[in-house]
Amino acid sequence: MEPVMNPESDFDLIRALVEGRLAPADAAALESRIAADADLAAFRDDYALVHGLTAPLAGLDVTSELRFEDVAVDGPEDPAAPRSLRWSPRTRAAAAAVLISLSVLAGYRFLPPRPAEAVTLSAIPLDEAPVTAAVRLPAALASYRPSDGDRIVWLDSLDQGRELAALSGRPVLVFSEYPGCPFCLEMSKVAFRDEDVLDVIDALVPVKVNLQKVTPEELEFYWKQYPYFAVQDPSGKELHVFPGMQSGESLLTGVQDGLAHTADRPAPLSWERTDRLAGLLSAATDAEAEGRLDEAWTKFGELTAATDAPHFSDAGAAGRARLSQAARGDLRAAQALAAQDPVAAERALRAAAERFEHTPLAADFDATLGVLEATGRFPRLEESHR
Amino acid sequence: MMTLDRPAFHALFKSERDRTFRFLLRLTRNHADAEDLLQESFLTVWRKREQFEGRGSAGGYLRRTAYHLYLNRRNRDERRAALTPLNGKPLSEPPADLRVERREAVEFLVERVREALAHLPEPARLVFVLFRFEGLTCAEIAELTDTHLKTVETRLLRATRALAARLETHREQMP
Repeated sequence: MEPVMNPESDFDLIRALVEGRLAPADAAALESRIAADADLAAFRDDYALVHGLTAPLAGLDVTSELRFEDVAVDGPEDPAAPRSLRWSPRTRAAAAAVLISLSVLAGYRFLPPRPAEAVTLSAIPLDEAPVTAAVRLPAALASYRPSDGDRIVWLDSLDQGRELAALSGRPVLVFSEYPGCPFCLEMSKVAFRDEDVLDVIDALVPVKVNLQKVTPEELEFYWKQYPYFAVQDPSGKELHVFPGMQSGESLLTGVQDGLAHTADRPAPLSWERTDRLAGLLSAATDAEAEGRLDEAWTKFGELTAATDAPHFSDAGAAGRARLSQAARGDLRAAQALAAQDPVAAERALRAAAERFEHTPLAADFDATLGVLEATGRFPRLEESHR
Repeated sequence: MMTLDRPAFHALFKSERDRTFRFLLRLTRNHADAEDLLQESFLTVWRKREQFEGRGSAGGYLRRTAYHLYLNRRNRDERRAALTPLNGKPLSEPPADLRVERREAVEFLVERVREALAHLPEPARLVFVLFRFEGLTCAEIAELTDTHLKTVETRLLRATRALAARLETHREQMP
């Protein structure tokens, strides 16, 4: 079979045109063919867009770590390199004795050890810092609304309700019930469907506490004021308590009185904005948990930039801090390993660089690895001012 | 006729190692797999050097070998994956009113492009990657993948159309 001569098709020429590599005469000829072919015209337009948008991925600046020795199964030596001297064991022993004697004579052994080369870390912190646990928001909450237009939609987890309240900048409306209790059935038909109540419920996160699922201490607390109604801040502090069976009117008054205690706080995020940021946070923490750390890094960064949503922004910053501390842990572990087994330390650094690939943290592993490979010693680590 | 003796193999290793690594990295999207396949490719080329016979370039021979090893690995992994439950999830749409620093905007765009590429059917993704990032002509892709030229062009057309549709909203972020 003859090798292909690589004739260029119009698709190849369009690529050359987009990249500005086509001679004017060829470009003119191509344009006339494009004018007569709708598929080619569409391809030219689409490819120009896609070519531009994929540009950041085009410069893949990576190299392999494979060594020639790993594939030269008949022998490790580089044929281009000069052949090493082949000395007999007796000659080698004699040469070693001479070298040791000379070094002793020169006082070499009394010289202080040469300091290790330094690496200035640009992203990984050297000091251990406390980290905040990841906020794991269930994906279902990324499209939550306090009302479906017809009735209140109660969350059934106080923890999740408080989490969502903190993130969206709202107070929590807490209501306790025994499933099937006549008061509650009545309120679900009337008060919880009241149009005026539904008009204001968007400003809160309503949570229903099922008294069949609480601890004895909690049951005692809620039972004293059954049915318990309260507007609380996200930390659980009661802002306004109004227990008892509620009509639409009294529920509205209770909610409004509770909201009056939050008048000096920043306006809550819109639910649409909360949805988007909650979806982003959920995706970021999933990526973190599943080891897709470059994706997690990027998404946490997007959250950090959400300055209109301080809790989401803090969650983003905390996420990046967690990743940085995890990288610090990997780096310190490799450092500890290097004293006993430099080869294992190299392996650990390579693994960590791969784990944090495409994040700014990877560059610090690469730099450390470069020095370890070149000198055989783990570098001194310094931290740049960030 | 060019033969692949030891000095020629060493020269091939020096000139093609990183290029073939990047080629495999784009196909596998995984560093460890790409390194593994790269080693296997060189070992295969050396073991089967008698079959090379100086036909075409040694670099092309290496790339064809790497590509076929990749296909074998992918087919094996797909068979294995067919026995395990799917755990994929739909990708979220980017927020419409995102305001981030330039660096983060580029990171964001790269992520969207990666997602868009991942959404392409495998044959179309392969053709696009070889065309866009490896700089191969349609005829070279047809030869490498043992596919008809017309099929390559159709896949390229579809891949580009699908990517343009998916990335249209990011037109203004074009570098």
